[in-house]
Amino acid sequence: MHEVVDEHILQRIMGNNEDAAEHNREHFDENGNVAINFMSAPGAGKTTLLEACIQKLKAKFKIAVIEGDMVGTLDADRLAGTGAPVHQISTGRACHLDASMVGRLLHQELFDKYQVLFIENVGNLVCPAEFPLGEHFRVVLLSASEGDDKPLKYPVIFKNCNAVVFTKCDLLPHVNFDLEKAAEAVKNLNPEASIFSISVKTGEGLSQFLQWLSAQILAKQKHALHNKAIAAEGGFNVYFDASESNICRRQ
Amino acid sequence: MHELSIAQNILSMVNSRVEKEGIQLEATAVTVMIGEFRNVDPESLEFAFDAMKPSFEFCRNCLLKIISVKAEGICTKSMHSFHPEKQNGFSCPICNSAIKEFKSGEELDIVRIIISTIDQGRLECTK
Repeated sequence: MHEVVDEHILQRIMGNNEDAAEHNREHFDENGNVAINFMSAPGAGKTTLLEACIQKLKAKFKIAVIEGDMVGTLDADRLAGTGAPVHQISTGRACHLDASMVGRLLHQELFDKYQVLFIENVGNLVCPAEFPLGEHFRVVLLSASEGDDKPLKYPVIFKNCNAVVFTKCDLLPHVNFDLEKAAEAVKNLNPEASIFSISVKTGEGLSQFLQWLSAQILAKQKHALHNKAIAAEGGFNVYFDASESNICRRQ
Repeated sequence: MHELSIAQNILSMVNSRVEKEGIQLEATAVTVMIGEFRNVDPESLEFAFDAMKPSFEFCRNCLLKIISVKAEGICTKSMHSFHPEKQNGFSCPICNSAIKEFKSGEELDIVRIIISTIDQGRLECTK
């Protein structure tokens, strides 16, 4: 057998998802959407937190939701109860959303009128970390009942996010969850992540998280306006600032 | 479970590379680098790769070689280079500070493809 090509190359294996994510980002920026990807294990409280966020922020921003679930519309139905439009993506057997699934929705021009797009990923602490969707921010939830060792066991997702929210903190007196230990592992992996401890049930800590979320959305909107102004003057149109934590592209 | 999509990506990239190269050729080996801080399990990837390769015309005899890359972090305080260990909560073992950046451990790349002529024997077998 004759060998003809023995090529040393460097090709990103996830390049197709990364390209699709970048394309989504362009759509988001064109539409004026600030997109936030919420990720956690099943049952950590993503839907509950989103319900609370939408209720508190809907007077301030026009919010829409993309709901990723393997089967069924249970979560989508709950979120629709807030009055925000919810678009369901049923992933079937896939354990995560990928950028092209989100892209198909974006091409239907459903989100032109909305300022904020919450994306609830499929409950899973492993796969969603490998599939950026083009979002501007990533929020990872960890509930008190799951255990404080999760950032050590699933480091990738905690490393590549902008905020970590410890949820169900009303359970802290009843479970072995050391907030400091969990927060320390997150800080060691990801010193820039903002960390919150909340209980949607009691309302504890929720306002701090909402404050952070609003500030991020407003900053991103201001940034987008600034870029539009520059573009209108015939300058360069910078879609996103590389100096920010740009998790779409691996460094 | 996403190893299936990763295997599919590798195979279709290799397949189109061979297609570009010319006729009477096939891929015989592909080498990938997988960092420790990527959620990819080598065994599952091998399994998925072997399960899927019959459906890729130019990859039916392709072997998958995996190079695992150890993670190396640089610490925030003193720029020490270290391997992030679970036991230390991923902090720097010397000064206990956080990881500023990863020098390695986040790779997920194809680094080498070997393309060979389809040997005559096999060609005749398939006729």
